[in-house]
Amino acid sequence: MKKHLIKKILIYTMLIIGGVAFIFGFFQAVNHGEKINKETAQENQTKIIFWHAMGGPLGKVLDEMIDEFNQTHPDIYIVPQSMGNYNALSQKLLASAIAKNQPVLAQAYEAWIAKFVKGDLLVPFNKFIPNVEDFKKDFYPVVFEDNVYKGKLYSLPFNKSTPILYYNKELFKKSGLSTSPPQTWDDFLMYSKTIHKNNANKLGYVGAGTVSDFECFLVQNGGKLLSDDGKTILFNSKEGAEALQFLLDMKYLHHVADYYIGSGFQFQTDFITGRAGMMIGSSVSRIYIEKNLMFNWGMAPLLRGKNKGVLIYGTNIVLFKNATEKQQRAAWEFVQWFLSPKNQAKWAARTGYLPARISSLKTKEFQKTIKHYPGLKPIIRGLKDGFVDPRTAVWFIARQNLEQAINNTFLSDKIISAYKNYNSALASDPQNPKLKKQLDTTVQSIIKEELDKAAKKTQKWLE
Amino acid sequence: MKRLWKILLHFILGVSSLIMIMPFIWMVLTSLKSPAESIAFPPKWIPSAKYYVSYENSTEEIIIKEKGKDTWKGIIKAGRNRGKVLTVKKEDVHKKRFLWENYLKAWKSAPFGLYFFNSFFTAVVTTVAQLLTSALAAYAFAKLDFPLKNILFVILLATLMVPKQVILIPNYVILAKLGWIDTYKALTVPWLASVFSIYFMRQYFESIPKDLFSAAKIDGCTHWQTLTQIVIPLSTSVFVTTGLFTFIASWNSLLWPLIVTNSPSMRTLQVGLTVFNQESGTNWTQLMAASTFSLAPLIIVFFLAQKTFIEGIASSGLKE
Repeated sequence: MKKHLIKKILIYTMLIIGGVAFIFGFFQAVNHGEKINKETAQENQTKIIFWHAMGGPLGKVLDEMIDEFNQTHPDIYIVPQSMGNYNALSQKLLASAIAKNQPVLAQAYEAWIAKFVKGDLLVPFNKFIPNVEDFKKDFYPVVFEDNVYKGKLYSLPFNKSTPILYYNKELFKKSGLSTSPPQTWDDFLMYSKTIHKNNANKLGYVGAGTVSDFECFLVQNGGKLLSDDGKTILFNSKEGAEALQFLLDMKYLHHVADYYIGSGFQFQTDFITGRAGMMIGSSVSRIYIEKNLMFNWGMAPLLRGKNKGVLIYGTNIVLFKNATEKQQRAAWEFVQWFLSPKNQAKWAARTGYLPARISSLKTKEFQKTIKHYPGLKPIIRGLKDGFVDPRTAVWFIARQNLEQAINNTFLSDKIISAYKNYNSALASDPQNPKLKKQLDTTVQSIIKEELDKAAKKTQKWLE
Repeated sequence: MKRLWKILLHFILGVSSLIMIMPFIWMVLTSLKSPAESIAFPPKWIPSAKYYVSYENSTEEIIIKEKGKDTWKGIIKAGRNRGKVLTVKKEDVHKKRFLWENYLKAWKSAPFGLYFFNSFFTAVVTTVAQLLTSALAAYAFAKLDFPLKNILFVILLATLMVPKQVILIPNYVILAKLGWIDTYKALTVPWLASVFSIYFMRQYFESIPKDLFSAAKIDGCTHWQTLTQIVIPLSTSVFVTTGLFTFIASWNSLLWPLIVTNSPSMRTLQVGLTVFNQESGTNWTQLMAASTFSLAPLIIVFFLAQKTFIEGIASSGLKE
């Protein structure tokens, strides 16, 4: 009887709480609905729907900037609509292209844009820019060229970021290292070893083993993703296999690194909690991790191997053709405003994205940011060594195949046992120079096999 | 012996329910932690007491170094101002263990009241409509004879094997042509009937003894009367079960509402939760707080229907 009473009380309490919450929610809904109605475009305003995938703190910054634009441009009303994430955005853009109800503006990746261009859905921005040669001078060449399709400017850079090296200055100091970051692969390995040697339970490096990381290491090692004519896959080269082995060596040979394959941002957590001294993360990660960091930290450009090389990723902004002439003009007004050096500096300072304009760096706002994060200066200077993903729609498939190949090598039993055998053989015969050579050959051939498989699977789409 | 068996049984049940409830407990506890505690390694179950002061328009956690009589000295623990030594008045330092404000912050980071309303509205409409359409269809398939009945039923079942992702874009295009994108119609109309519910109910209706139907027929019942006066009263458990399934599925659906709605005012709870999971990181504490309050209605509904629900699962597949 008593048990019954407790259950009854429990249910009623929950019901009351739920009811109150619902009524509260309903009133909030009504209020919000009214606010939305008030905020919708007035008759004399040109309404521009803008689909994006920025959420959380990034979305907040974007919304605030759009608010500012709307207030300073009374005849235009930009309506930002968040699609939550890039996957959803891509599906929605594809579906809306088929149903012919696209937004006016949208964020888009290169591979999607290539499709839209093929389907003749976009307005090239050349329409509004009388002198493109002059206009492009203020952009980083790689970033700008990324928007040119068949000689026309079908998109403009919107949110561009790049992987960078985050490092724990305190752990560096504790390990007897200088607090300046490593610059080469050799430095990187040496730093990692030193950290581990001086702090038994700490690692030098944590990563997620992503395709983007691999692409950077590959290019730094002198390799290429795709041939210049875009017809042959080249990531399954000796340089590619060596790049992967470098990462594998750090974990299985030197025991100074760890990788969280396919577990999202777990590696960031390891860096935040101080388990590892270095991580490679997006420049945007800053605003997510900063508030949790309990040590002195720094950021630096990626490493140098035989070459320099850093991937620049992120989306561009496109303008759809089914918008009216008036909407197109208004949309351009917004894009131009957003890409102005001053606003790019503001956007970059508050989000961790890279400013698209070179002259943004001279603005007061950005100078203040650099003062706070001195590492940003060399990072931005390093953009001249930047590269972007191949723009063919096939690269979407290539990335999936590559991801599988990377996962397979990182988790390969054959590779793990090869390292184990090497370590035990070395213990009994430390002077034998042949052992290392044997290990290298075995590991290289397994990696090569996986990369070849991925290349073959991708190559057939290119033909 | 029997007693021992009972103890063992209860022990096994206890352990497995503990395993089942663990993620929920973890969710609620995480929602009350500070961001640093939520990712601490080794993981911490119960948050510890923390000291907060406001500094430069934001609240910062400090480590107390010195407790004077009126003023305390502390160091800011993390973030931009990390390492700054502050001397503050004793009464300006707030000691907190459970950060209930995570719930308020989470609630404010998106129009959740609106999302609640949309989710609730969608789920209720879908559930009621699905129960109605499924009962009618299931009755026809179970008790009526009509040409091509079995073939039709097989075709219906075959649609269960088409993955949802395949029909996503065609469905979108249909709705776009009807001009329904970004309306409640898009959220509800495609789900007003469900093959799974029809199948589920039909199996149950088949298990109702034939004699009852014969008796009803002799008494002069029409099919409508048989359905409403005989079948439905006998099938409360299956109705509650299908209703719950539908309600839960609708409440939890993410992809469909995301695809067919654009404006913030039409979004549902699950779409709202994506605010916390971002390009380069996840706001765990607020995500867990928001998950807690968006799960609460489901838990209430489940508790209310618990008894009939379990009965429904246990008996709907059985034949006499």
